Amino acid sequence: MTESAPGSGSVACDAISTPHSQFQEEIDDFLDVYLPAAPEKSGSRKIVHDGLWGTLSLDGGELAFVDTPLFQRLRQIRQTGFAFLTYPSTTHTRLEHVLGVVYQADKLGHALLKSKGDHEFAEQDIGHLRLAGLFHDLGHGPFSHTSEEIYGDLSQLDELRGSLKDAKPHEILTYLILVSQRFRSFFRDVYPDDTSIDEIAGYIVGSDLKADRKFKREILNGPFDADKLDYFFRDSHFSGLPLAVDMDRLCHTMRIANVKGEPRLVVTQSGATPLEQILFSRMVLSTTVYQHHKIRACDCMFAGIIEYMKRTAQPMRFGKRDLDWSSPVHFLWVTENEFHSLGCRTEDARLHDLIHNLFYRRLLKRAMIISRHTVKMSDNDRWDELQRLAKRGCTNARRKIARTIWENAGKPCLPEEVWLDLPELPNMKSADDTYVLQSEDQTSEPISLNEHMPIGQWVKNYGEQKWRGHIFCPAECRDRVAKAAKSFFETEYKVRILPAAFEWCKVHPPT
Amino acid sequence: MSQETQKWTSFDVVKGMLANLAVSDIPASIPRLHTALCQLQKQQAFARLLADYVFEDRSHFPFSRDFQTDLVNLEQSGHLSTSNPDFITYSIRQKLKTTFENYGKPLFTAEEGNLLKQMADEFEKALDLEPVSA
Repeated sequence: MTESAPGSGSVACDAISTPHSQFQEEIDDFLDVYLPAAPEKSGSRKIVHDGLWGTLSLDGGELAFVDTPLFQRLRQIRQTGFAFLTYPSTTHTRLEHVLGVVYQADKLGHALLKSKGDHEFAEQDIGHLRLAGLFHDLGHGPFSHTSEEIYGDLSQLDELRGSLKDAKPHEILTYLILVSQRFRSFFRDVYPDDTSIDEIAGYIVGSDLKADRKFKREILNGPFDADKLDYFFRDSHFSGLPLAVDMDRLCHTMRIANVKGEPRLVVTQSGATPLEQILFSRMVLSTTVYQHHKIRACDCMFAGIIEYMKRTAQPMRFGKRDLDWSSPVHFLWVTENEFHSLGCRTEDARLHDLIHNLFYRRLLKRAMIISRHTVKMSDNDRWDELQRLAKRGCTNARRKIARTIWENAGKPCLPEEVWLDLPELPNMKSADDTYVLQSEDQTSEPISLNEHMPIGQWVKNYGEQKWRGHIFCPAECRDRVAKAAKSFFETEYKVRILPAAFEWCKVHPPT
Repeated sequence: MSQETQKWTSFDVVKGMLANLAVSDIPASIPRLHTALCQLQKQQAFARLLADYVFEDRSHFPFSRDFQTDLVNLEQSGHLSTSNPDFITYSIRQKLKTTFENYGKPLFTAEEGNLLKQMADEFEKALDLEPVSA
């Protein structure tokens, strides 16, 4: 895509409301610092070398965005949050990831260009998808999904979540950045004849455009999109987990076909195997890396630091701004280095310890494991009411339970150091959302991958068997907290906690 | 949004609806289940009961992450079961009816309880099911 590409015309995204005015002011305030008033004109193409994909070429327009603090701050946000404290090589950042997504979007786009048939799809569309890939993670905060879990619960996002059709919190922030007047102005300076910023923003939140454009959106926001293809490989590579996806076969078997009257991305039957690999890889990565108990403990410790700062009314000073974590935008200001340095600068000894314990790996320990294998249910139990709290929006309820356990254990530590952690339950809609051609000539309607083979159900069951919730606390409190937790859950939820719930985390089962 | 006096959650509503079904088996198909519930949400009578579910339309069918989580929860906690090897059917276990009777039903008013029964009927129709005779 050249810097002065002909305009593709703005596309109205349906049902996107105007953001709350205070929210937009905060975004504008942030962009005043992180986005220059005008782009630096480079005009020349550059080659970037990526450890995973090799060489990636960026044109002058793309570089104009890359060379801004808004983008460069992604160097200080780790892709997998605190995973590096368990998998030491997972120090890769959001910056490498977004460049990798640009690479994958380009690759998928060019593969589709060869097989598009009569459908409208051109080089310019690939240019837009590359930009969407470049921008798609601008709304991430420190430690990526770790901070997203915290600000995602703030009520300011509720009104937007409905109109943006359940987009993820960081996608909503990214969207707000892209549609701001400041960013639009910058975009116009880079691409004077291109008014496609709304279309690009729509790709990111999955907000649907016209029916004939949905397959384009799926290259960046779909069951086997560029984002997934990069992070599967990147996260598995750097964590040392050997996962395999036959990327070349996927690209060669991609087509556009009508699914229920709309042109969508599909694969031929021989492309079903790489799709199955993607589904399994995603579940294995989730259970082995993202939901690893030590990484979950770190996430709780980070949330505990935020909670402590709120409880003791200690906002983080950032220039002239006091960040009290009451707004999702506060998390955009802070990168990981700044958060770490807070531990050195604070005069509050407890806050210092909380931050240092996290960054120097003196982690919370498991006092109890919650899973279908460690709980004996009855016909009259209320165990589903506890699992319900794994949903987002239930943070307060989980904290209330943790507080009760802390009190019942005799308050052996700070309240911010006892946690009931319930990761999200496995969710496998992708297998129903991905379609396989039954014949190359497209005479019959494509069928879903799940109809082709019930892979979604098998992967979901794998995830359910591997799902673990935990009670975390400092090492020296484990016995007391374990005893309090056992008593609490057996009384409130009418189940029996089996000895395995404690033996598996090397705690002596309470009597 | 739930009213101040309301004690139930959307999860209670789903449990109540499933407990009131005349059939003992329903398809475990994500597209069918989510499409059916989304259709019910659009009916004025049930809108308040189902207000907390947000359906996105990025997929080929309406999908609610929270509804899917609730279904997986019911499976994990023994209220619903599926069988090998295809896992294409959810069986509604007696546990669901028992626990709803004991814990869920008292949270609803008599009028809301009737709505749950109506919702169950409409859900069956939306799933295109024939009720099994007792």
